[in-house]
Amino acid sequence: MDSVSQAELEFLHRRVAELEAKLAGDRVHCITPVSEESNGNDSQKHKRAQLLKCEQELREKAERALDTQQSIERQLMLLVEASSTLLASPESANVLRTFLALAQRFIEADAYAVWRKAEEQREWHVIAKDGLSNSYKLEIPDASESAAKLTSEPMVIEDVEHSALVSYRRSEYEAEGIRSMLTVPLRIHGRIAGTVVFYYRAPHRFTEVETRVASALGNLAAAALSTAEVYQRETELRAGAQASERRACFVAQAGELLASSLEYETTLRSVAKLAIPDFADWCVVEVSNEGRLERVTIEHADPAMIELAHEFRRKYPPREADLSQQAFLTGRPVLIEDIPEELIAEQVRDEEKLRMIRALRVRSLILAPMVARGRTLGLLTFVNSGSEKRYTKNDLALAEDLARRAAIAIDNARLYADVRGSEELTRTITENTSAALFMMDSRGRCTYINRAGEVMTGFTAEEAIGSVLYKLIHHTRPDGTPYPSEECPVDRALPLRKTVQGHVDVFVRKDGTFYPVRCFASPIFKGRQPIGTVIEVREITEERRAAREREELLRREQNARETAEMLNRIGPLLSAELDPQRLAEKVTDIATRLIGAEFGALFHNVLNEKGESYTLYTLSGVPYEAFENFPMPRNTGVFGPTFRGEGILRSDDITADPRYGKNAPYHGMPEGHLPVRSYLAVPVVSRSGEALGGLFFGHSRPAVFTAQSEQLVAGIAAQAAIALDNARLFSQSEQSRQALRRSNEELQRANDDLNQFAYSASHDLQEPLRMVALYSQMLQKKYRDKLDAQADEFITYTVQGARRLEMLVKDLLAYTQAANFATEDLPPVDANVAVESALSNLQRSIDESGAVVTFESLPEVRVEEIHLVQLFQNLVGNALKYRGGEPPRVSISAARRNASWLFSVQDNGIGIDPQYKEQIFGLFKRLHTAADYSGTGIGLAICQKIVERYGGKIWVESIPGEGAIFHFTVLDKEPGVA
Amino acid sequence: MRERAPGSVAILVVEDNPGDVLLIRESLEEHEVECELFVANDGEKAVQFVDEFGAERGVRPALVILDLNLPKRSGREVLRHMRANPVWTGIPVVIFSSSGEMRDQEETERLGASKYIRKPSNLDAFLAVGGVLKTMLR
Repeated sequence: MDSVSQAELEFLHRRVAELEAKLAGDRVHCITPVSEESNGNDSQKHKRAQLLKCEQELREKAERALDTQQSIERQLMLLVEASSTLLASPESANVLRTFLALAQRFIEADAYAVWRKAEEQREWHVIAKDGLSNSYKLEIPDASESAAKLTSEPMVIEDVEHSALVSYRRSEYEAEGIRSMLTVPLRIHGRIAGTVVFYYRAPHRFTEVETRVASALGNLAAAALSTAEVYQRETELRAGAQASERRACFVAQAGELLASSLEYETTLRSVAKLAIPDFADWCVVEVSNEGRLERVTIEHADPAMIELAHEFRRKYPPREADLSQQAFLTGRPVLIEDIPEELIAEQVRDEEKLRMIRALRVRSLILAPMVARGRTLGLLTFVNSGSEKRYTKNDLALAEDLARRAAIAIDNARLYADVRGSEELTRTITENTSAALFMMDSRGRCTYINRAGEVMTGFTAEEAIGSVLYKLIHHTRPDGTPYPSEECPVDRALPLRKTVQGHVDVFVRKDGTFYPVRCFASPIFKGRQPIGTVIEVREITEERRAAREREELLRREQNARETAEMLNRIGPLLSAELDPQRLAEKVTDIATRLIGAEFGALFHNVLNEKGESYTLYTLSGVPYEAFENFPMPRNTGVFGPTFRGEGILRSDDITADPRYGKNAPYHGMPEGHLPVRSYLAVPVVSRSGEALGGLFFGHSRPAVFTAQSEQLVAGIAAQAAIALDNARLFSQSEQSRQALRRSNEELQRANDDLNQFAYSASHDLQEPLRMVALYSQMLQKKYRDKLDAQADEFITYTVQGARRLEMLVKDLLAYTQAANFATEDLPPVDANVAVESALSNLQRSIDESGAVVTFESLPEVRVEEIHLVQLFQNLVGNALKYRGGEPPRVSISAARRNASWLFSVQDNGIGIDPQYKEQIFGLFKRLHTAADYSGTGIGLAICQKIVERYGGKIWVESIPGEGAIFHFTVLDKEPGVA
Repeated sequence: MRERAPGSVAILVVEDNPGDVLLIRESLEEHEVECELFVANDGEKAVQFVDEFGAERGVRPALVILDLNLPKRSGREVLRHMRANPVWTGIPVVIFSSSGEMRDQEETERLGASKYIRKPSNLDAFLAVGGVLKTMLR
């Protein structure tokens, strides 16, 4: 950043102060009789005053510009940094943590909170907070605060006690000690649905920079939260899809197991094992034996835990009041979604029992009684240990279904045991199975149909038996064409003498509706003679639907994840681009490519240097010539809502939209326009809620853009808005940088003018002054003792005055000249030689005062020799002039200090009162009257000017009455090395 | 301009400040220099004086005292004009200026000035100038 250096600003500041003091006519320190009395100096004074005023204004302007510049730059850095940090963490918990950390770094509030109002809720909730106590109310109804929450501008409340807006929460604030607050609205998914609040416990006045930083932070948080929430929704969807898939898988496998064997205890143990770990952490199967539950198995992934469970049961046998006993006795299932730790502690008094229960980790519980034909045959217990795996009503339904199947399996098995080998057995099995069973003879006629078969086909046994089965259930395909018997695998089983296993097909019901099935067909032989076919059919409509749902869920989850990932990738890409036009191109290209549009356009409003708004557009997918002759899109029915920032417009066929074609002169797309059918338009809305422009996409085929395209473009638009705002900020900062440069140049010019003025003024003063000096001396010479004593006195004063004025003018000239020289590429000069020259110039004063001046070996420095001589001459001269009672002792030394040489000139003179140690370097500043110590008050000012011109510093240390040490530094650097 | 008194020399003073002219006269008297002063109070008049003498109608001064900062035409121009005229060769020119710039001294010496004296602001020093001028007349 090229700007006024601190040193230069300080110098100007001092300079103006000095000249102002002089103009004010400070008579103690400033002896300038001629400039006060001479008429000719009035216009010079005026001119000088004008220059000073101008200089003052410029200095202030430069300082202000510098301030604004710096804060905008800080802000910009913050935005760029924050956007990449925030957009890099896709989970809302991370986003909020990162956001609070950022907020703390950049805004020093006492407490922070992020409020959120979810779409389906009526209340606002605090979703992240810092610095607030736990008792702070984290939920408030929407209605009363909605007015304030829904403005798109940050809301500043400097004193909550006097604000009507938040009066209803005054007691909350009192409890927290909150006095001031700043509320920044968050625009999430296109509407104000959150706020960031900065709380202060002392009354706080908000600066504009604070508000802007807060608001920018808020908008970043909003964009990040939007993305994070999309991501979270998908994560949930994915988890849901996976869980339902696992459950479905478990139930299917369990169902198969239960149907596969009559050895029910073995089967139940297998089912229990299957439940671990996807459906349950614990699974207990108990079967009724003469009215009491007996444990068949207890399953857990960890054998040690199983041991623990057995031990627990031995120590604490079940009691009638236990939930499991209740469920078993009533036959009603129990679901406990969450068993709070405290509740257990409350119920269980026995320490040891409590310890064991805790070790067993029972967090969520399902008790499903196994009921068949009105009798409770046992109890299935499922337990989850982790708080994140809570059972829901869906799980309960599933467990019940499983319990029912298990009950039937147990019952069947027991029946089987009872009636093994009997006709009854066959009947019982066939009538009770959930599969439809048919038998047909060798000519395809139905000879048997069970109850499930009747339900499935819609035909009663009377209707079915004797009819050709094929003609009842398998005659037509879903598309309406005939299903020839020769192609039916079930009918082919017998002729081919081949068993059909798990063939999937579509059958037709009596009422003509179709249903998917899986069938098994086994030909039956008497000897070698085929006599018929046994057919088992299961309807798989539910299975199919579940699979389709699963697929759909997975697809949506996949889409959403892709969207979130893309948005995450785009975020940093966009926030890194600071040129608005290139940014617009990037946004348009990326969005057009991602959603597969034939063309895309971004119309956005920008501000020129004068702050006027005009619209730029960027195209993607078509050459610019294609749009050259069309007017800018106007505020029409189709375009208007987008430009007003009202919402997303997606149309499968925009030409069919009622708003389309309503405006002259084209009534639709102008000739030569791409034939757009699919249309998607998304407003780009800035952090302040201002519509910055819109993203428009088109495709000549209808229905190209999907909900995912819409979501994706909305995400890009949100990020583009931030990036465009950033770019705009950056260009503002660029403009203020230029303004600063300009005012620096003006300042430099004014400074040069002032120097030039001072130079010529003092130069031109010399001539008339010489006349005054000469002729007053002439008067003295010729008329001394010839007039009266008073006249002699007057003449003496005139001569002295003229002499002093001459010194002043000479020194003033030296002072202005000390500012105007180059300090580059100077050859090194031996400081010892410079000191010797200075001492030889001072020889008379040295002799008169009997001074002893010593100097040790001094270094070479890159300073113009005459300047170095002048420095030593002025400093040593001062030491001689302001001597105390004893003869002066002056010592000059030099020491290395970082990249500089530190020179010190020490004396034993009268010293300087520390309160004047800054003042003495001022122009015309004198601490003593001319009668006590002569001098113009310019010597030290010249020293300071020379030292600072070479990039050094000069200062004094002194104990009044004991002496003073003047120090100055000179940069020790090679020419051309910065 | 005045007629020349017999036995005295003519000195051309090119000087616009009457105060300086008076003091030059004073310092010459201080050193008892018998002379007639011809004063040109701007550059234009000095050039005219040079041309007249060049045409053998005017006076030949024994010495020229030339200020640099003059109205109308500068002392440098006057000096250049003199040195361009062969009739003026051999007449010493003393530059008498308030400028302490090294550059002015070097430049006028190059143009043919015989001496450079900085106008003093101390009366004694000014009156001593007459002594220097006196040596130049010999």
